[in-house]
Amino acid sequence: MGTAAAALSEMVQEDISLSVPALSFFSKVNVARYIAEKSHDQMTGVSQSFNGLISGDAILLFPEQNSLEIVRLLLKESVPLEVLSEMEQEAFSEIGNILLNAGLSSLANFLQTDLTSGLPVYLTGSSLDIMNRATIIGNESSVVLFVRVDFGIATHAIGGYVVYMMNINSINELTKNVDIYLRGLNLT
Amino acid sequence: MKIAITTADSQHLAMDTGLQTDLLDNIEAGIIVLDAAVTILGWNHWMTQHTGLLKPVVLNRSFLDVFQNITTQRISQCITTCLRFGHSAILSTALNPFPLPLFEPKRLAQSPNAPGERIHQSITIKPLLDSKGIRHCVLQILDVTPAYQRERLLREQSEKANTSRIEAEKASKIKSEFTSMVSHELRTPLTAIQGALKLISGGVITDAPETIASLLDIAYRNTDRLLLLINDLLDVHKIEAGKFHYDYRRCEMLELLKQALSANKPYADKYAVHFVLSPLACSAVVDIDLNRIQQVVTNLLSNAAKFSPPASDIIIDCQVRNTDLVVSISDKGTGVPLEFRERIFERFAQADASNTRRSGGTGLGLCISREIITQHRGKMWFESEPGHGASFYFSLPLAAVNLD
Repeated sequence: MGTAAAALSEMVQEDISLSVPALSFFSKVNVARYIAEKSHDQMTGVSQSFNGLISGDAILLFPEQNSLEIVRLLLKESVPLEVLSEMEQEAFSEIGNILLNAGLSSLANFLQTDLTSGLPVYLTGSSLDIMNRATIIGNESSVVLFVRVDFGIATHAIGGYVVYMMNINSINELTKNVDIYLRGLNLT
Repeated sequence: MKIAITTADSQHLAMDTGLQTDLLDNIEAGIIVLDAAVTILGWNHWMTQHTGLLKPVVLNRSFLDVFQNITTQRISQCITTCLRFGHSAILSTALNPFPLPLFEPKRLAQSPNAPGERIHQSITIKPLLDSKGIRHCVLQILDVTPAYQRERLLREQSEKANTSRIEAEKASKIKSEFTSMVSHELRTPLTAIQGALKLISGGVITDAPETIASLLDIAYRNTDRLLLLINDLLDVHKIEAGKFHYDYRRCEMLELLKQALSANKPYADKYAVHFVLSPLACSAVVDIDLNRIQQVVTNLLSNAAKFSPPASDIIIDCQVRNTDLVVSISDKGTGVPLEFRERIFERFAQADASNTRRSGGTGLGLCISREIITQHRGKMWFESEPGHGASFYFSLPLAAVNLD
């Protein structure tokens, strides 16, 4: 996350901080419910496929208002439109690409393996809608890895989420490695 | 190099090198293929058109050698990450203005040394595996200049429309406030006049000449007030219609100020204040419409008197600054409220409703005064701190005779 923050900072000449306050395994439906409880109906997302020891789709989700705020702050637009223009969608996709690649690097380091990634795809809709529209590979399992992300630009703090949707084998592989890690820490 | 293409019935057909090259050269996007050492293995015709660099010149050279000064940029970092970890990346035009030196082909062909501005670029970087499973990467570059320009134009139009909407709402609010103000300001003196005259004509007052005189005085003063309002409204109308004419004559400013102070003394008496001409006031000649400038001075004196505490002094000064004459009128009143400062010279601007009721006025005086001074090629401004009085200034260009 530090590398991602540094990359974004340099791009936009602003102090940017990224932190991951929470990470857990959830069902897809519960993720949607959790996000809906925060009154976030319309979401903006960036989805990226990943392949390797584990495969699936990583989806960055922000409440629509937050995505407008991020783009406005990073592009220093003085009068934001109510929806993102095409150029702004592309910029948001790049921001998502940087964050998701950073997350995948962390996962790859944890699993001590390589994970390749595809190009980001821009999506809008409810969180369940976006998760359902991810590629078929990631739709087999109803369990997802759910990560909360806090994005700080100058004095603004903006919250978002990353959801990793994987096939059954990948979920099993990941949970197996998490168990090994926790046993190593004597936490199970 | 051969690429296998699978048909619907699983027969593999090999595409020969000529067809591959032709395919890449006909794609309407830049294609660059790099190996693990960032050496250029693939370069299509689009890239040649937009860089002026021929394929034989760049093939087997380092990408960082062909495109110098990009080692610290995001594109270089993305290529490294792609080759090392297989991560795809996108470089949007909004966040990465002109990462590579690419230009519009016609301009580049006509002036290779001065091809103009770089094109707006959208770049994707993806991993590729060769037949031995060794990772390479491919850059795809799109010219998004037309789309970028269209969006800028749309944004500008949207901003203009937004500004127009705000101005229209503001104008509508001003009109609405004006209607409300005019209704009150017209009704109040008319009611007073009607009331006084009704009493006299109704024979209610029979044997008290002092009372009759007092009622007639009320009626007279309120007709005066009505006339002032109507005159101000007519002035504003003439200004807007471009029919506000000036009769310029050469005048001595100090003399004009003395006359204005004398003419407005009853006003000072009414509010129990003193108009004082500064002993340092200097004399100078200006080319002005005497009546209009007296109108301005009267407006500023009346405002100062209205908002000054009783027994206070209002200082009038006149100084030469470079090629201008600057007149100032300073009071020790309540000062201009902070929230009113931005709109003090606008039409129908009043500090607040209660001041209108207490101090009278149409809210048009300062607007008209500034217009008069502007037409005389001068400026009007003020300095004030709430609670510490206000000083209003206006400047007028000195007549040429002063400068001889």
